[in-house]
Amino acid sequence: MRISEIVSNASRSTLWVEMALVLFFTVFVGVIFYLWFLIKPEALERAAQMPLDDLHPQEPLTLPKDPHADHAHKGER
Amino acid sequence: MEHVAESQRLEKFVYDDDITRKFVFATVLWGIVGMLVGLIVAFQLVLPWLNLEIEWLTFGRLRPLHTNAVIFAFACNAVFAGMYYSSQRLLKTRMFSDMMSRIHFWGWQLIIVIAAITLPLGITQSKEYAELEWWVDLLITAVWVIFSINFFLTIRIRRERHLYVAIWFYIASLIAVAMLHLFNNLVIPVSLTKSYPIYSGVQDAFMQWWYGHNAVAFVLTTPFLGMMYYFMPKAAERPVYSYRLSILHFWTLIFLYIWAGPHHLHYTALPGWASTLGMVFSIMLWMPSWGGMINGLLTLRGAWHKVARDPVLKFMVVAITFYGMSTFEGPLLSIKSVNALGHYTDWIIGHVHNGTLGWNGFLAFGMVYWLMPRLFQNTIWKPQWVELHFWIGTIGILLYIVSMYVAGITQGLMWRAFDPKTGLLAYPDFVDTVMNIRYFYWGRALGGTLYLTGAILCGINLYMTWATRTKKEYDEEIQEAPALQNIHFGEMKTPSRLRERGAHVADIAYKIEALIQLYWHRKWERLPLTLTVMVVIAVGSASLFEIIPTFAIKSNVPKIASVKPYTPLELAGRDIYVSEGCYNCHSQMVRPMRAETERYNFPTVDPNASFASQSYSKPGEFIYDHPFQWGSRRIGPDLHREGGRRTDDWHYKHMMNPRGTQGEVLVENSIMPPYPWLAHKPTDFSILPKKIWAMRLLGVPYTLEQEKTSIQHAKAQAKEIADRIRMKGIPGKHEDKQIIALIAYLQRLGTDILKEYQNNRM
Repeated sequence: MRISEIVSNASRSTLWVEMALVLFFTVFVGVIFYLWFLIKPEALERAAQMPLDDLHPQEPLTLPKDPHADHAHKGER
Repeated sequence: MEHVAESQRLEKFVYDDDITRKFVFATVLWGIVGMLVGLIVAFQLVLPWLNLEIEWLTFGRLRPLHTNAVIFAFACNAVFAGMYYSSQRLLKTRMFSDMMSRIHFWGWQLIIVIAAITLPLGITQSKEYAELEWWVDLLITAVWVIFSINFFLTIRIRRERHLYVAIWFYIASLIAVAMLHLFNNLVIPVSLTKSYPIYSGVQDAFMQWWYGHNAVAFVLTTPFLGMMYYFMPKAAERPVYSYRLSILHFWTLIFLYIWAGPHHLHYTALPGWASTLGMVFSIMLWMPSWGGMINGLLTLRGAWHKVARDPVLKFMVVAITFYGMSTFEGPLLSIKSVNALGHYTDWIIGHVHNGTLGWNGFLAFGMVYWLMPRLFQNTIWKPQWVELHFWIGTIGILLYIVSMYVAGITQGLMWRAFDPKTGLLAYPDFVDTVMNIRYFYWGRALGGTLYLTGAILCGINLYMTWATRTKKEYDEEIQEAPALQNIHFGEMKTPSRLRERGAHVADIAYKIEALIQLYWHRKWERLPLTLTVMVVIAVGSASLFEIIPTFAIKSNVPKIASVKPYTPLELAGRDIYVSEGCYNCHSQMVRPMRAETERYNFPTVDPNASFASQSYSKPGEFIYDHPFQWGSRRIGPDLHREGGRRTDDWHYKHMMNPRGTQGEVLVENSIMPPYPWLAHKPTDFSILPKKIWAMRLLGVPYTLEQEKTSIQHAKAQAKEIADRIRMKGIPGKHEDKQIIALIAYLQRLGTDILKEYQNNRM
């Protein structure tokens, strides 16, 4: 069976529109869940400060001295 | 311990502000040029003699120059200026390659100059905002690739771990624009000045508006949002209201925007499901757009008093407000019943300028004024002019958009009005609707004049701030940040509460814990490649959901047996139609509404015939149209059922002078320009075999014999038409002139389907 036949058969209902909505809704709920439940406010506050300081990195791109201590300190997730 | 030593070593570097200065100058210069061209075409609609009977200056050729100039020269240069300035600071590093930055700058300016030359010459693909021909598209691709490589390598050498949300918006813009540009510009070149898109009719229209809508999304929205998230906190001197909301804004916007393109094609021959999908996602776009607007405005919490005295903040606040207004109006216009009234009218022009003048223009000017003293290390030459610019610009925008709203709604209502006594169209003469809105066209021209005046003030201020700087060599502030250190996935350990508590569990529990914590997202976020892949998935999946069915579902474009390819002469005429930019004023899409089928009926058919009311356009009528010519605006009437409506000599006289002469009035009060050169310029018959070859390559069913005999065939048909107009008293030998080819095309428009009806097969 050719792909055009598969897609043509699938189009007999409003399948495409429904799949698109489900796909979007899943992504939307995922982003909401991540932002409100999984990310810590301190990390967001630190990121929000970034445009205000042209000189110093908020989070330097170097390995921390002690990864576990650093994570505990910054509460990163 | 080696890591510790390395992490403590500071590196010195300076930001490359010279490239920002270059782009700022280009922004303002091209902004003035692009707006000036826009003002000229606005005046041409109220003073048609301003076309000056010069082919390079007609509305159809200048309008694409205006749109390309303000989008790709003004807005894009502003975006590049903002990106170069903010990215270096957000990433705490200089751009990866100064040379690539300069290739990007000069390459982009070269493209703009080429556009300014080729578009008035009538060298165009006729796809809105993608008019530039194939070899210019290749140049754009090369410059964009160099820019992207430089940008991504700059991210790679950054000294800041987290990518600020502005950078995400920039990445999305880079990726999406590349995808849109590549897929919408797939063509078969015929010569340096001509190519045919690989798509036809409905599919070409779909690809074009997938591109056109998302050009608005990823050229005029996402990079400007990135700039908003950087420059608004800078100007307000406080962090963005909610960083959390900005992330939600980003993901929902890029995921939603890409689906909304089909709302440009409501009530056309596009399949209904695609149209509905576009509408639903457009309405959902309200959510992230207003989230972003609120986030931008609330950044000023506790600092609103600054707006009163700081014109930069005034520009930004009004820009964000217009972002909210235009993103409210866009979804409103995407609702089918509203779209039925607003589409093809000046309402759309008002909506577009609400966004471009208010949101893009004012954010760009606000950014330029904020950058001016910092880049030139000098006070602004005339600070009071900044305030003046703001006010005359704001009044100009309001005058412009209110004029267009009133004009558009008036025109839409007049097109659909029926006389209750006779049951016939109340305004059957299209030009009556144009005459009714001419005063609003003056309002638009006045609004545009004010806005351009403000831009000129900005240009003078910019130049003088630069020229009066005290130091010829700029002080370059030396920055210091810890040395870059490569981090590998393996070294970034996921924090584990189970491990901290010393829980005795199976290994799988740690893996599940890591998965649930979504720590992987923080890792991904730090690696631009992965974030880029996520953006590609978000943008690509939405695109494929629409594109695959549109191309693959067989019932989308049912073939009509009587619809045949154009004759060689008609094909030549069609190319002249494209070259003159007729699509800028005339649609070729009769919508399935009584007001449309009455106005654009079958001219040669008895009104009592059973199929007389079915003159709306069908998808199968466009299968040989490379490119489609549906248009997006009706400054003049729709032309899809023009074939056979008038005689050949009428078309000849109309093209020479649309209003006619004292002795013979044609379309009194027409605002269409005359095209006298069409009666003198020869048709290029020699290229016809190559054009037919390209069409055959695209699947149009011409035979090899037709390709070989195309020149003789075209000349024979041209002689027939020329003889007919000569018999009507028009002197001269016109067989080989462009006007004859154009008449051949116009007389063919929308006639093939009649044979199908007359044979009772539909």
